Amino acid sequence: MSKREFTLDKLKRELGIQPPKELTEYVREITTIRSKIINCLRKDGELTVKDISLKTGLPENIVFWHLMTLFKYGIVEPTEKTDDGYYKYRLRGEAHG
Amino acid sequence: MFINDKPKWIVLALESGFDGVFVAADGTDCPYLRDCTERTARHVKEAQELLSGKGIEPERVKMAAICSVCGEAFSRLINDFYSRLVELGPIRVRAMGGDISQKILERAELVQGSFEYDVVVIGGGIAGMEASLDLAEMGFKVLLVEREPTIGGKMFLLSKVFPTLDCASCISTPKMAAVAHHPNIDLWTYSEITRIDVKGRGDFEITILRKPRFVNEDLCTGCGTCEEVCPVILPKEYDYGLRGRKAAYIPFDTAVPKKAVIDIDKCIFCGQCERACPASAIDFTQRPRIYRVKAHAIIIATGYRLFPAERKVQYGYGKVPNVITAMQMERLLSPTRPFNSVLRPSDGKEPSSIGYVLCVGSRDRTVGNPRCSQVCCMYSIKQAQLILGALPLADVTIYYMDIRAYGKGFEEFYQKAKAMGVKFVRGRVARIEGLPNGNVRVIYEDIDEGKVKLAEHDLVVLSVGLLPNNDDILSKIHGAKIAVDELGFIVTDPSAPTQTNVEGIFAAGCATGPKDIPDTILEAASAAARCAAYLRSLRQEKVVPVEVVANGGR
Repeated sequence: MSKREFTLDKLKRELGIQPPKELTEYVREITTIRSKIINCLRKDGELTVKDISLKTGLPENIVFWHLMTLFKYGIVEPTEKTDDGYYKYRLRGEAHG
Repeated sequence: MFINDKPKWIVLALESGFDGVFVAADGTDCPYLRDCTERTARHVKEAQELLSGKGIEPERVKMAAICSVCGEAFSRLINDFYSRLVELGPIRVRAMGGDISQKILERAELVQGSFEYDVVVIGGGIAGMEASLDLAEMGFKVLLVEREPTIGGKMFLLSKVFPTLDCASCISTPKMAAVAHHPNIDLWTYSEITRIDVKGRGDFEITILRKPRFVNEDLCTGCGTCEEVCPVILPKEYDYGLRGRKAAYIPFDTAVPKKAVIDIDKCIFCGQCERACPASAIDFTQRPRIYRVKAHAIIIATGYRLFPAERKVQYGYGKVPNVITAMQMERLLSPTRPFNSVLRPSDGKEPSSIGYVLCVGSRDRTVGNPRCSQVCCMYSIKQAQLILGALPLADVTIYYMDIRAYGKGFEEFYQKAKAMGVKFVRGRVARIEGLPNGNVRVIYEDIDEGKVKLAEHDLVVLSVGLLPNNDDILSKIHGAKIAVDELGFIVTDPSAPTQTNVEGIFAAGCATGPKDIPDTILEAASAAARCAAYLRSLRQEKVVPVEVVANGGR
């Protein structure tokens, strides 16, 4: 059985293109941020944006933006709301004690 | 910034992260070079050509001959330039991969064949959809061209409509589906009009660029697997940046067509989407296609663009984290909202105090828009009511100049908001500042009490005005010139309010001026009726063959 040729390989060959370095660096950066948030939730269970910010050192607005992206892709879910108006979030489908 | 003979300096500035370069040349009174303006213009032109080659918008460089007494003109030019740069967006994201889309664009191929329609409708928002459906129902062959990957315009992004509080997407989504399935409508999304030639009475040639989605639409099932595996996360346009989307994405769940699209400028060519797609629909070999379409009439329904709130620097949008626009609040209140509740973007707190600032970028000569945008009062009152429904303990304050509740049921709607507890403060907001705890301080003049006051809110919403969205399309019309008013909205005949000054070209919706949804639909229906009458008159004159055969090309 012959190996499938992907159209992406064809495009890259025909145009001789590579993604810009700036873009790959950006993706590396956001992937790291995302991993930090997911690992933090995996380790500690239900956390607020402020908790995650303190544990990861990431700014609260960055944490919240990525959390909401993860929420829309079904990776995290909100749980209870604290008395001061902040929601806690956890990884979807993961039970924590 | 002054330059002599170095266009590459300009390019370097933009490649280094500056969003734009304004070049102030001397006039003819320059003591050193009398031809300074001409020389500088040549350098600027050369720089713009270099930028185009790199996939960076040449409009990021602007030049003007400015002398020592041109302070007012300079201020106006800079304001306009700034406004344009805000629309273009930050250079970093734009410039990334610009070379790639340019290279792909160079592979565009002209599609041979005859493509003929009764009407080409430009813009797939509520006005364009309504006009298309009405004409299609009357038996005319319609081509609906939409620049975005989906139709729906801005209406499907809204929460509810005023004053009835009907669900906005419940109204627009069936129309979107009807457009897609109507046998007399061909729908070309992700397509741009590149030229319109007015050749004669009832004779238009429209050149359309159909951009590649890099997804075979016949095979794509809209399952979203490509989106799941894509590692690139970018601000989602449909949520006004409140959350992210992937480089391979479906615009939203009810998109029409519900097909994925790959943002090639932001793709890192990892190939994960192509390997994961269960339908083998990813196709990076797709090329842009250019069509030359014949039509007997055109309806322009390009809608509006929102006033870029960054231009009101004193209101802090883009700098104070918890200052958002009313369109962002619409998304927060919508059933397809980006967050799990109404939350503020700096830290995810549920706001207990929300302030609205009306007339941001409308009724404001300092930003060049003295006109009332007609909908801001009412959409703010609507949002205030919806917030009180979502957050019953919240305080909502609306800072206004005067409330324009002019339509049917509007006054009652305003009174209802007051009865629900919405606080209305008659006063002009002077400045908005961010506080260390994330709260927002509003400094305003209370007109009734004649005092300058301070207020603190968890979140502030700027009710931005509506601006024309016609420039791009009108500049592409050759052989005639569509008249626009001093703000750029299309001028129509007062005795035939959807007829432009060019015979056979009609306009509907916010393309002719700000208006609410019922008026937009009414005007779209009117444009369709006028257009139908025009097409029938052409047929009676036998300018047009009685039976027009449309060639699909979906």
